Amino acid sequence: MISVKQIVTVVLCLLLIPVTAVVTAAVKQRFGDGPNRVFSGGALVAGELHTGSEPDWRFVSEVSTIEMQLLDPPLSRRIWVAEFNDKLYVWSGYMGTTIGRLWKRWPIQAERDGRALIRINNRRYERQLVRVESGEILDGISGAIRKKYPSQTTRAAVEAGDVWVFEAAARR
Amino acid sequence: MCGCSKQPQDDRYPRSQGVRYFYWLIVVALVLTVLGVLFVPGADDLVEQIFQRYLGSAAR
Repeated sequence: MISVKQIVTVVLCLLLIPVTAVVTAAVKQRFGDGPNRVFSGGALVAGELHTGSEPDWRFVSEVSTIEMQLLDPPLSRRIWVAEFNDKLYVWSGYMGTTIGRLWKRWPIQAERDGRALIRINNRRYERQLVRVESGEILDGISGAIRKKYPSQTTRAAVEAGDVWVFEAAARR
Repeated sequence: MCGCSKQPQDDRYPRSQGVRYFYWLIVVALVLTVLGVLFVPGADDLVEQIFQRYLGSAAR
């Protein structure tokens, strides 16, 4: 006769397999040059570092995702990007849920230290992430986001803290 | 008396052997999983893709 304890043991042992796969993939990604999908990657190493004047960021309308690394901690992730009024914006959704906040830790880290490095088309740019929490500009930014992606981002969602928006400004 | 104390052990023997085999099977599966994710091209990406799908729906 199989007991409940044995069934639980078997289920837990079988669950260990996908958990191990996920943990292994996450650890492997940490040693990579950049991220892949959800797991953070290592520091962005490859690619020429941009110097000189500000680029015309309108070219990001043709770019679906960018790689972004914070200097502290030096981990990178793949994120969406939008341009509005010649400025570059990145954001994180799901910030209103517990799972979302556990998953998306970079916005909290970026608020603490906004120094970042982004890589677009194998070219790296030094940026400073500055959070935009309120204001009319959010209408324009969220409009640009919705225009580019299948996103529900609105000014209200940003001001409610469900979505955290950052301007990727030039680093001084 | 000797037979009474030995009988339950004989009953348990096949089950504990089965459990031991199962644990070994799990250990082998875990090792193969780690090696597969580390060295099979595309395996890590597949794992991440499935995890992303789960995470996306769970975070909503």
